Amino acid sequence: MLSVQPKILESVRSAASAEDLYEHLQAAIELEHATIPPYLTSLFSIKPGMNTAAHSVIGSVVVQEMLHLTIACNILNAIGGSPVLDKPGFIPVYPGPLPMGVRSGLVVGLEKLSRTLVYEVFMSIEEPEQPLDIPVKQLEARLAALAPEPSPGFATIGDFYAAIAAKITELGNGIFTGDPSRQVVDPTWFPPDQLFAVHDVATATQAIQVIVEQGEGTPTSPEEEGEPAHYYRFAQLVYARMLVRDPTTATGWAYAGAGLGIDPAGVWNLLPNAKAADYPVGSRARYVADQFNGSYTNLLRALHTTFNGDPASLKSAMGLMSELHILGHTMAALPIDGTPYYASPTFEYTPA
Amino acid sequence: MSYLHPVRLAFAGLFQADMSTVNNDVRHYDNASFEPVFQDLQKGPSWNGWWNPNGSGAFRFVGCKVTAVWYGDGTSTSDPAEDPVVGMTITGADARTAGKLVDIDPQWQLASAPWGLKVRLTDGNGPDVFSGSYLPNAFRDLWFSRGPAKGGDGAASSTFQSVIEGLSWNAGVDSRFARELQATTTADALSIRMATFGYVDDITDPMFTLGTMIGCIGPYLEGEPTSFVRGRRFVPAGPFTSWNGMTYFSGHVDTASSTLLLDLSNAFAITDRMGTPNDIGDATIGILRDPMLTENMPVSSATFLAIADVPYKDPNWLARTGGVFATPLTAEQLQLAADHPLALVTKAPVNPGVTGDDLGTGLVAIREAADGLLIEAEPAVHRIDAPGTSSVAFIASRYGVPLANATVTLTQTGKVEGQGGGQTSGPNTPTAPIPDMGVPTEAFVFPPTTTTDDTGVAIVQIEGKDPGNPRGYIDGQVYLMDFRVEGMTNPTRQPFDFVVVHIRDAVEPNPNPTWDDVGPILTQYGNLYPLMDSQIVNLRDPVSVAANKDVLELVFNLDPSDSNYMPVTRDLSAGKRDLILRWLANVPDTVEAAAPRRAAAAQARPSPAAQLEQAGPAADGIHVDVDSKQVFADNFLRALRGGR
Repeated sequence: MLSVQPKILESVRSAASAEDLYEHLQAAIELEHATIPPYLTSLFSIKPGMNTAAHSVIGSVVVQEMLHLTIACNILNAIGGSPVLDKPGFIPVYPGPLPMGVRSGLVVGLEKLSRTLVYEVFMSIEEPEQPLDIPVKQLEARLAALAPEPSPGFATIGDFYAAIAAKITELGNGIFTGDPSRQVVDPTWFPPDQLFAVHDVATATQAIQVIVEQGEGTPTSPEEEGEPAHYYRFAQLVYARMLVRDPTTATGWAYAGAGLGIDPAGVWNLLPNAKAADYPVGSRARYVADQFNGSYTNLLRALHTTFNGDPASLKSAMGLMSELHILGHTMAALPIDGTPYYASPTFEYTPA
Repeated sequence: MSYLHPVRLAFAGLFQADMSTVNNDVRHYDNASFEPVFQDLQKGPSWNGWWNPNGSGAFRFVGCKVTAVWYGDGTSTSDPAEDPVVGMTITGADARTAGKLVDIDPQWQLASAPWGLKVRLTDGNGPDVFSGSYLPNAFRDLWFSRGPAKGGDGAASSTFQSVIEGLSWNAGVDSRFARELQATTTADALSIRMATFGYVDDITDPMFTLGTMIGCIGPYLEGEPTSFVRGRRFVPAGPFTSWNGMTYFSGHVDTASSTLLLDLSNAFAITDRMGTPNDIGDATIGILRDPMLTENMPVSSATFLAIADVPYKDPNWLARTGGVFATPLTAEQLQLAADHPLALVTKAPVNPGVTGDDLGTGLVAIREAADGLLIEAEPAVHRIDAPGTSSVAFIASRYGVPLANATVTLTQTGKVEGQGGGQTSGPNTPTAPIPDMGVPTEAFVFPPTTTTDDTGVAIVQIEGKDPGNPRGYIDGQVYLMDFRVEGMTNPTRQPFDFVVVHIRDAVEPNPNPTWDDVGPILTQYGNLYPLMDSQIVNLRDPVSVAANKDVLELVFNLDPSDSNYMPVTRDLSAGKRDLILRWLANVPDTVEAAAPRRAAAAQARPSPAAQLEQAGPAADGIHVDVDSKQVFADNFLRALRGGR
């Protein structure tokens, strides 16, 4: 379960003004972003035309994390803050903990796609406060044995967002002093019921609900808007079955649909947690890694501009995402001489 | 004038040109005979998709640093402590995608231009000293024998000259150079010249898709050309090179400061990728007292007034100077240079092939054009949606001074056969016929002559009528226009120096296009750009296209100057673009598969890494050099010689 330090929640709860929430919403933006490089690395590790179901599962989660980042920025802008996305520390160090002092023990890195990675890292990131106990028909017993223990003393990310929503409600509509033109609501990329302008308590709490439910589902259903929440979506890859309705189980659901596994032969053996410095100066991997990092830094700058008064810059950001996609896949197919590995993108902030 | 100005900076580093090469063979545009193997890397005797089928088209500065700056008083520094601009980076966009290097057509691959390229001077931390957008001028003065490779694109070299427009300046940088540059330049633009060589097109080389870049940036002065120096043009006597291996270059006499500036960035043959020049002896720049003295002839004090030695052999000279040599002129030199040709004279211990007696004072290595004539066209590259027009300026000068009232003769090359092909035999030879270019000539209309005005400029309207799809499987037609000013000799213009025009077929408006209308257009792009096909959207599949309609509508609606514009090749007519946009607007997000899904064969294509493993001379010992520009140029020159 993705947990945050209790003192962060205390700080949110004791906030006396909108300004007191700025740092917490900024942290939320950084947390939402922090999940994207690990997910993207696993995506880039998929060989062309292989593991298509896994590709679409992870890709769909990445897109929603981008939505969550956008929503968090909209909320911060709505209450008069200014998101910062183009600073050196914005990208966390991988491997390492996620921002907000998330539960110790969860180390998030940049690795090739594997069942272990999805189970131990991705599902931990996305784990709801109380996961529904959905049976895996063939693996029911094993699933129960593997269920992670709750972590006493820690608050969940769900608690964090609930505390933000509660505080915004308490502070009231008066804190929505932000310039409405800073809201990013392009319906081209996200439907209006998911991405909308935040301008009062009602829209802010509704926006927070989108983040929480897409990530975690609801306490009674693994689904949100007809799609499994992230945790259950990832679980399909671990249990190698689509999540389907099944009236014979207690929850009404089971991992018993069509096959949805990961074929390791369709995954490049990426160098885990690579840094550009791991690739010799003058090597092709280094050139492409530098380009990737430059392009990723450009993306953060384009997003920073987008969320600081120029929503039209989202078009530039979209172009950069395509460029990164190309560079990421180019890297992953580059063998590293003298090793069994292929080059992995490194997601380092490198302005030039 | 331009970057050949006392106020300028030099930079050096690498560039990337990640060219997609499937479109290097025009026959690959034929959807009907397209084979999946044309998307694969070259292998053995099969050229397939040539040397970089997965290229993205990206054009990037890589590690380019300012090596020195020069000031208006003629002084300079290469010490960052003296001027913080020294050591800063010249780079591309900071919040958008890389620029793209674009050819106008597979049947004219000798006018590549960067589109959507931003240029920034930055220390990487603070705000940019300046930034702006490169006006997409194509390269000039391309030659294939510069080295260090034995031939092909690895031995090629060229210069990109243009302006950086829409500038933003940061006044906060305490740099004398930045202040002088900003104060000198006009029209919200700067002049830039990039010399590019040492390109690596071998996928097994770590430097794959990279080459060396030597750059110069200076002021742009209102009214001057953006794509060439309207100054003193040095021309070799033979096609491309002089007797001792130098090619075309430009100079400029700055009368205000009595300075001669020469751009030698592309002039000398080289012995390594970083541009170490081939030693052709000690070089002296000067003025020919005898204007009839030709290349490879000995000079004497009676026929040649020496100005200065050119230290081109000094270590790292190219990178340190940006290839620009500047020297003060005496009053006598300034006066003589006003109506006499300049010449570079070399002295070498051995001068093979000397045509006259070496008098001990050197031989003319290369000299200014006969009668100091210069004529260039701008813009030199035109894209016309038929029926439509464009206009081109012919700019003439003599010894750097506008040539008024000169008659410029304009002719079409007419039909040119066999351009833009490739492999001619063996497995996987494309079967489509190679269309003729330049016909029908009636579709390309312009006056046979024009006359320059008082400023030495003649502006000509060119008209493109509907060529009527003369090439069949590829849109429109490509035309070349030859231009000559009276009195000029053959080498005055560089052999690839034409006005090149792509006239696109007229398109019947259609408010309700179907996949039958747009499918062939998109399929062609899908075939030619495997990267797009495999990683973004399968353009051959209406289901995939419909599923990506939002992003496609975005990119098809951008301005061509935007780095995200689609198609990267910028060869889609407005009429066809309109068909695509209308189809996208009408289609639901998911359409029933009206056409077969992506072919299984395409899915099973070997991965890039698998291709890498198969590639290279070691793989099978029958490696063929598939060099795009070289192959294209050889073809063209053969046709040109054969036709005349």
